[in-house]
Amino acid sequence: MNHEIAATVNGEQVQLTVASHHTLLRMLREQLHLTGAKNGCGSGECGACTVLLNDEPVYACLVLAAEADGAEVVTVEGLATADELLPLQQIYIDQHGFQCGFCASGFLISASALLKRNGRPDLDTIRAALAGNLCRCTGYGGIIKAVQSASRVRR
Amino acid sequence: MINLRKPIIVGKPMVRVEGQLKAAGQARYLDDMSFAQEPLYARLVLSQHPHARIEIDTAEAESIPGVVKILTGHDLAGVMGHCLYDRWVLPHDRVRYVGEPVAVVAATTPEAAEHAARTVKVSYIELPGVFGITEALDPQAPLLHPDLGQYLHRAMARPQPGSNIAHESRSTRGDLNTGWLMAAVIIEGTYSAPPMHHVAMEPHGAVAMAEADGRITVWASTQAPFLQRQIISEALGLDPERLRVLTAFIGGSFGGKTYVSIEALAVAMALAIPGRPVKLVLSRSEDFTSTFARPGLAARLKMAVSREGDLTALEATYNWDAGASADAMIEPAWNATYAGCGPYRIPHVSITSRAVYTNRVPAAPMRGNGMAEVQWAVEQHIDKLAEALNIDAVAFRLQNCLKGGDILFDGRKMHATGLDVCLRRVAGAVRWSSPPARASASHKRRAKGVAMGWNPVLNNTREARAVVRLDAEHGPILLALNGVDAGQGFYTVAVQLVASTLGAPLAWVHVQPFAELSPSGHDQAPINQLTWSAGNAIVAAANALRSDILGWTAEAWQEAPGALDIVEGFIISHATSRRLSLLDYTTGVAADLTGASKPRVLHGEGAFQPLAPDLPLLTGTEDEPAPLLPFLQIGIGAQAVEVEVDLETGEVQALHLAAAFDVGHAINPDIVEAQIRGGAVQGLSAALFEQMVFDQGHPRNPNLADYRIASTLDIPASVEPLIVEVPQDDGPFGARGVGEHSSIAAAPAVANAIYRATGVRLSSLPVSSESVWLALQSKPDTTK
Repeated sequence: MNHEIAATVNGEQVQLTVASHHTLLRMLREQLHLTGAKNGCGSGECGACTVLLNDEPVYACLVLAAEADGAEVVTVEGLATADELLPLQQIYIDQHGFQCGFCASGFLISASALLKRNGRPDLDTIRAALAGNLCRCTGYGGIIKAVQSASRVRR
Repeated sequence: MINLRKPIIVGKPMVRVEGQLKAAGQARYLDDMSFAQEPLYARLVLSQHPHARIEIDTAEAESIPGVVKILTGHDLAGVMGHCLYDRWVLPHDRVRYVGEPVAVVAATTPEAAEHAARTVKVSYIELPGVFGITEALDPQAPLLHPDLGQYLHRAMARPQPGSNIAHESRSTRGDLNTGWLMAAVIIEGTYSAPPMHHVAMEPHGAVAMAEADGRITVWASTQAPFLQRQIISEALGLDPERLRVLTAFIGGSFGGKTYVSIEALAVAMALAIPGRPVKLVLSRSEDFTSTFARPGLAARLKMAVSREGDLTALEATYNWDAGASADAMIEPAWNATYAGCGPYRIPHVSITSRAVYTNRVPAAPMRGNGMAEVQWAVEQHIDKLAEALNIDAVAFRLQNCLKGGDILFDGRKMHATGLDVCLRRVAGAVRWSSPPARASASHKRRAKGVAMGWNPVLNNTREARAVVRLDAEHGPILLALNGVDAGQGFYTVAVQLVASTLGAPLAWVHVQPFAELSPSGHDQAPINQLTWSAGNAIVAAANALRSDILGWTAEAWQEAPGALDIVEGFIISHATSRRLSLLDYTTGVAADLTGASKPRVLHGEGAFQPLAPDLPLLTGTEDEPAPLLPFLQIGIGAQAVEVEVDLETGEVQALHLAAAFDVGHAINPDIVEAQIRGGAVQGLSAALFEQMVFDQGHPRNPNLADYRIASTLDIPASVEPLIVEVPQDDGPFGARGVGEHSSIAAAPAVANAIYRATGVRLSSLPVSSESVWLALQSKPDTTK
């Protein structure tokens, strides 16, 4: 069974037909070709698929595509403008917040959501906010440092 | 007036060359790639039993709409291997582990493929299985590979037909009895590590397509495309020259994506359906059950030390749980055979190392080539010996650790090494000589632990090759090479090496990871220690190009080549101040200036093959000179940790972890530090959390909820990476590399700290709170 949905994805209105069993992750990756959100586990354990759904970070692999009807979705591709990365993204590069990069999209979404709701998070708050995103390469040091640095940048 | 001082590029921290792509979510990994045509989707049918005879009926599945092809072992006769050919592409009539692929389905939609995979009928007649090393070594044990004696293997594999021993090797030096007689203290102990998993964040996958003319292209998430090409082409009877294995960005490997598991199935299916891309990307569960796991280890050590505190003898047995196929464990088993004594001076040694078959997913080494598991045993044993003699654990190691010039087992001299420096630095970082601060509660205990380790490269004849091209239209500087960046940052280091050697600006240099090099010998491409091996080839290639350019220019300008140089992309003459941009060099203008027509694209080639001409090969026969060369490059490091143990719950918290590695020369200090940090946390995660749980061969935790890896909540408050640089004389700019072994000493450092905090010695990994608590209960004099 299919659903007709209308959503705002990265600021753009989209109208899509989605199968009832398809996840938001699959819709983003396959129908909208936004491959920044990754399929790391398919069951909400690794966070590589994290996107913003109405400003809340969610695991896109656990959200049905149909649930995006009438919602605002932001993926990593929508964080930056056409010309410029967010300070968070640039700092992420400068401070080696990634190595293989597979988890980076999910972390950037979780981190940007954190910084939006808490401009000066302390270390424990940062750790807790990112506890739902797994990284195997970095040991998290560079990621946490980058988020701390980004929180100090005036917008 | 141009600045003639060259900028310092090597040795300077630099951001990743692929940073913009990764931070913007634009880096494409295998599953992100799009193809000119919609691919067919492949799904696997997996064995539900650990050891059984099977019969497969695909008739009903084949009739499902959308299904294009189903392959079983009847369609594919191939066996995969590179040391010991013991892993079937698809089994004919017998499965050897839960999760073994028994069929592969290709269909027009993922749903149809999934449906068909579930509809394939597999009937099993269960066979008795072996689920642990001890069981497998029992003379009465059922055999996983009864025909082991007929398997193809290279001389370096030493299978023992009629047993479950896929490989057994031994090394000796001196005379053990002499060693025991010299001893004041002799200690025996056993240690074990369970199978674990590499858990790269990106699951395994491959997309393959066969063209009408018989050429096949495979995109695979692998750190060893050339090795995979060799293994797959051999297994499927293909001409390797007509098989290309390419990579996109890779989401981590850690050794799990070196050897071939499911990639051969994508190729087999592509051959069965020419002209259509076939896409096989595994789920996380399949990644756990059906590719590779880290080996388990059962180690037995007997070590002796003199009254003066000098190690006199070591007798060790390392039995590796290799799972159902041991091909990927032959080299690590050899590593343990020679390196299983740890980085110490010990005159009398006997080490036996075995790779043992069990009915579990096949093992492949993870980051350290087995040395993390070996050090788990050795470094705890060293602490026991130090304690028995009442010598400080750091002092004991300093007294016995290898130093440059020490003679190794094969008569070779240990190269200059900063091992003792690494140890001193981590000890200093955790303030080893001072007692720990007060524990945070009365039912907690704090203590520090230290361990070190080594990763000798028991190398084979892998040859690194590189080509640096000056192509003003497409580059301007393009680097092609046969080593793959699996995420550790090697391409960034490669760019630094080219820019620095050639004299070009960093921004001009680009790596072409898919570029094909001139044919032959590809299968022996380097897989690890890339900074050292591929780095040397890259420097050689850049130097070759530079020499050619300067030679031609000198001729055209009628100057001595020695008067010329390349600085920031300009060929300049120190004698006359003439200059010419490299960008103009190959254009018509430059051709006029240089007085001759030069090709539009210039290139320099470089190669590096580790050579040890005067040293005896360790294995092999006259008919087949063995590929194993003795240690040519030895990575070393040390780790120290301060922990706090909760006596009521057994929970262990690492408060501060310091890790020092001698990298020779840090081409990019930021990347080196990142590798040290990442490796330290991986080691900590393995120490505290990780274990593949099997119940009579059935995997019980093939998911990321039940197979726990460290999260942001688990890392110590402080992780301190320390770089030590004692140059590698045959490394590029003195570099040795660090990515392979940066996790090898964390687990024993933690165990040593727990012992000092609580008096309980945990000899099995992981050191979970449950195991610590249980050990505390059986220790009578633990007080609160």
